Amino acid sequence: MRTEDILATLRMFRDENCDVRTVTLGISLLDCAGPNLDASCRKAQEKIRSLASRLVSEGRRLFHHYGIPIVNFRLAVTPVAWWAAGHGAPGLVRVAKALDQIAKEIGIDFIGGFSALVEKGETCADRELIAALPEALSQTERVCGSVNVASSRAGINVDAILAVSFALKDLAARTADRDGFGCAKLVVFANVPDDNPFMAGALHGAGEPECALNVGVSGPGVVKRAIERLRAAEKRLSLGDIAEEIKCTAYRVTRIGELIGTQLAERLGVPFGIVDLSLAPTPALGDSVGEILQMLGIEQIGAAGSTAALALLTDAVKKGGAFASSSVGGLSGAFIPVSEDAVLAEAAACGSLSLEKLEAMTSVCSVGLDMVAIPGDTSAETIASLIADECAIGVINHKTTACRLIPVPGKRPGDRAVFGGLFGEAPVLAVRSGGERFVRFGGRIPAPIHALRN
Amino acid sequence: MNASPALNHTQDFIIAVMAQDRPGIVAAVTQAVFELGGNVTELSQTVMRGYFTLILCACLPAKLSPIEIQARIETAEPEMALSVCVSPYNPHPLFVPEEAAGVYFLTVQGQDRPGLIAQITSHLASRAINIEDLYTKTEEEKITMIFQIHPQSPRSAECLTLDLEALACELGIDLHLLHQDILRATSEVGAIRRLVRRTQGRN
Repeated sequence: MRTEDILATLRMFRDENCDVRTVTLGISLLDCAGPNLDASCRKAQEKIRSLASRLVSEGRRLFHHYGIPIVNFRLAVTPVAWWAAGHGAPGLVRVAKALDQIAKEIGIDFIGGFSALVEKGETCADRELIAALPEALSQTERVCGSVNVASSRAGINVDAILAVSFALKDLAARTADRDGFGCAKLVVFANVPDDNPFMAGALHGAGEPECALNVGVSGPGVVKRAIERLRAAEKRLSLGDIAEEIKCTAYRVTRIGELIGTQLAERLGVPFGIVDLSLAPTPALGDSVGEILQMLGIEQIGAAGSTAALALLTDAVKKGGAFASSSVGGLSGAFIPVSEDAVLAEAAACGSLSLEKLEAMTSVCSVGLDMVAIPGDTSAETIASLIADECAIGVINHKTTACRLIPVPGKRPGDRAVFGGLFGEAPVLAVRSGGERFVRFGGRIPAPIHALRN
Repeated sequence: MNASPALNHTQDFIIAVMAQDRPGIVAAVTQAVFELGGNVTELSQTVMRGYFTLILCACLPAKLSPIEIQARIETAEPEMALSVCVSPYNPHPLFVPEEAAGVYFLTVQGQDRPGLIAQITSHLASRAINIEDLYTKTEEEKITMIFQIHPQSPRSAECLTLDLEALACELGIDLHLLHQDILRATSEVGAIRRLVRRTQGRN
């Protein structure tokens, strides 16, 4: 083994914040459906307990064995609207509480799947779930929700977007004492992936097996330092050289996820699902996608060139990661969650990064308007318009986009919203209104012509 | 070690050779082995600061004594001044790690000083940890060492992990332990399942 390789791998863990950001066990709860809600909840809890009770302990054993930190242990379950139909919104709130209770019992920090997929239309259960979101997410600690409102095959369900936007406003009001933190646990998707391990949008979708372990790696710090070293070592660099370096670095980072995923799945006796390649930042210094962009020469994030730099980064990460893993899935790109990335938050605070530029950048990376704080008095229709724009990017480009918007009660543009921990803090960004009439038409934006692929 | 089919009544010998480096040493040694009726089955060599060292395993006629083999190789090219050591191969290893004990890489980085290697290796020895390979490099009084180590048991690996921080403090250096699987995963091309299985199989 080459000395340089050994020292490079050591650096990843010692100096560059490389870790496994999340291991997420996906569990099907379809067999928990039934006319008796208490029985359904009990069955769901028993199934989760039987499959996931060793998730944390085995993960910690693996940490002791390999010395690779696993930051979060999480669960993703079948969208609740699929298996808890017929019990009304109050019944679905009870389901959320049951999921919260079992998550706490087995020691995981978030459980995703309080979800509905309504891109083409809503069932009664879907409507009930959307109605239950404010109460369910404000009264539970660990439950995360998501609603898929659009897809490249079905178009954009504007009625659902409006309903979710009203739910968001309600949820923000219910968690006003924490700057509307409840909304940080709710993602609105276009083209939701069925195997995403990252919260808050994780769910165990259609076509997934009974149970699967998915892994999300992290490595913004590793990528940044790799570019930094390359810049220091080479006087004449082209963007192609940098892309190659990112690709090779992404390969190494992804291999760590693949190793941990396969080994942990084997220990738990469950199938290994996918590695999500996404570069997931944290508010910590040296763990930022914004810092990578700076290292690429974008001194002010949001300046002209930011979208191209992000496109280069995302593409190189995918190319390196795809070869490193037996199965890549989830979101796989680069996250730009404003509050969770200190450099992005700073760029937004100083006015360099606007909401419109963020939206442009989301067309080339893996999520969307993520952890964006907006004024508390933003109307539900304006929020719906923002979400519709983001969905349009996803639908037309055949990619996942998502919104995690937080209308912070009582706060105005320029104020600061503080969520704490990995959720960080961010300035409240101004939203330009004036397009509300468009979404008030309601209905569904038809699927784009290139949906007709058969 | 199996004998070559062409050789009857053979025995394996381990031969170590050291000399000032120059072209032709490997040729001289292997030619001498060949002329003795032997066959080289494994060989590893390195050069450090102009000095050559080699260790090989050769299958030779059993009637030859280590002294005869040594003399033949040393006199093969007298101007090379080869220093040779020969031992009959003992197939029973003195160190047999437990199957579950993995291979690790211990990296050491810090200020060089006399006795540092002795201190670290004494600690490893006291934990029943075998050193399988060792690389050291000193630049401007900063030393980097990479030990490829094989603990006797998973327990001795755990003890080393627990000790590491205190040992680093005591010695005033940076110490880190990396499992071989991690390095194979990040440095080698191939399916992880296959790489790890191969590692575990070898352990």
